[in-house]
Amino acid sequence: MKTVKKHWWKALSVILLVYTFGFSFLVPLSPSIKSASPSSLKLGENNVLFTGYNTNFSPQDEIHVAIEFEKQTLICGTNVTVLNENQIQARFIIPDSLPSKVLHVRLHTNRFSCFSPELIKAFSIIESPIESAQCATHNLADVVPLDIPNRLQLNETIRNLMFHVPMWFTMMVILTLSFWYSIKYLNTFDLKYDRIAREAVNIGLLFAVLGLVTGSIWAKFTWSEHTDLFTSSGWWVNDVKLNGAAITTLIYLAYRILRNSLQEANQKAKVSAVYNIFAFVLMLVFIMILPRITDSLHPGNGGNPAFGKYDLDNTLRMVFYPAVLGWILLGVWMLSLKKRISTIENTLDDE
Amino acid sequence: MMNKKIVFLVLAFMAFFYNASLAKANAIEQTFHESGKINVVLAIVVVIFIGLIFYLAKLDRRISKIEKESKK
Repeated sequence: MKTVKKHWWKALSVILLVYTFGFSFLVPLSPSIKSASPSSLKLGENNVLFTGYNTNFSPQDEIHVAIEFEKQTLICGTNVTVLNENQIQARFIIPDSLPSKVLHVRLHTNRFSCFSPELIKAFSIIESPIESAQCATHNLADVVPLDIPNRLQLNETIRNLMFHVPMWFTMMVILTLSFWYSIKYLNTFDLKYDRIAREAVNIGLLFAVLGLVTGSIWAKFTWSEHTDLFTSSGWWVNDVKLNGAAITTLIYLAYRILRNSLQEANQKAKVSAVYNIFAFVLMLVFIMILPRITDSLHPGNGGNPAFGKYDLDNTLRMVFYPAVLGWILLGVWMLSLKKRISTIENTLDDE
Repeated sequence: MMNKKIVFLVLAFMAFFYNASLAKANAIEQTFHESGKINVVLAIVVVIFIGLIFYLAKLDRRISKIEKESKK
């Protein structure tokens, strides 16, 4: 019973992480349309080929396609044929007057409904008011399948949300603990607290480096794709949050250098505790405040509140919050091991 | 005359290997774009795993030190 009382949070961390890994790798992405070809339409008859992802079309499926503009149906697609499980073909008759230059095709089946990438009209049009059409549609099945949203550019990498993002949450929590123990040290001048603050910075740095490396890999294969949109096409994108995180990491590396440059134990503890307080404030400025003021590629920045309804849907919430808690508890567990070792080292040194 | 030939040969080889290495890098990058970029997720999980192993190795070294000292 005593062991349960003492160690339950470690078991909780393991359970949450097992759940996170299971959920992140077993739940499929929602069906979506990857591409439409040709991507530009001409006047009159157009045969468009849609290539999907996880769509599992079958000849028994009833599939309806329609061009929509601002939630109104404009043109119904006809002659929908299933070529294979991820490809269908449909015919659109384009009139010479349409309300917009850029069009979306909505695809309905009895299992799901989704939008295609943009279709652009390759001819000059008369911009006219909307005349909506009536196409056959489906009522979606009552049982909503469990799936992770398939977003443009992100695709399967949306699963990184459960690995890359919690690294930063864990770093924040661990560095907050470090800050807390530095203040405690300055109040009591008990070297015990200074040791915890030091170990916490080390663990925080590990998570910061993991966050930087994983973020860099993720950015390389998603943000850097649109080279015309962003200045960089490599492993580093010029983004406030990235640069802020890198500066934070350097500030805490400087903490380690500062510690090692001082000799006497009490002096070392005092100077580094004061530095740690400054470092914590700078970290808050660099990764919490500055990215919210300027525009950033990260979601929830540039004025929007973090984790708005556009960034996380309910399925992702089901796994993201447990993932964050699981990784934070793992970080605290790692810290507690280091703290215990440093206590033993200290008693051995005293003898 | 001889020197010029050697320089030319070396440059030709370098150009060949440079192209070959570029092609190889592109081939590796290509695998990350396939099947909905699932390999990017794999790479990131592997990086985190390596980070945790790094932590374990450091812990291991500190414990060995303590063992040595306590035996004295």
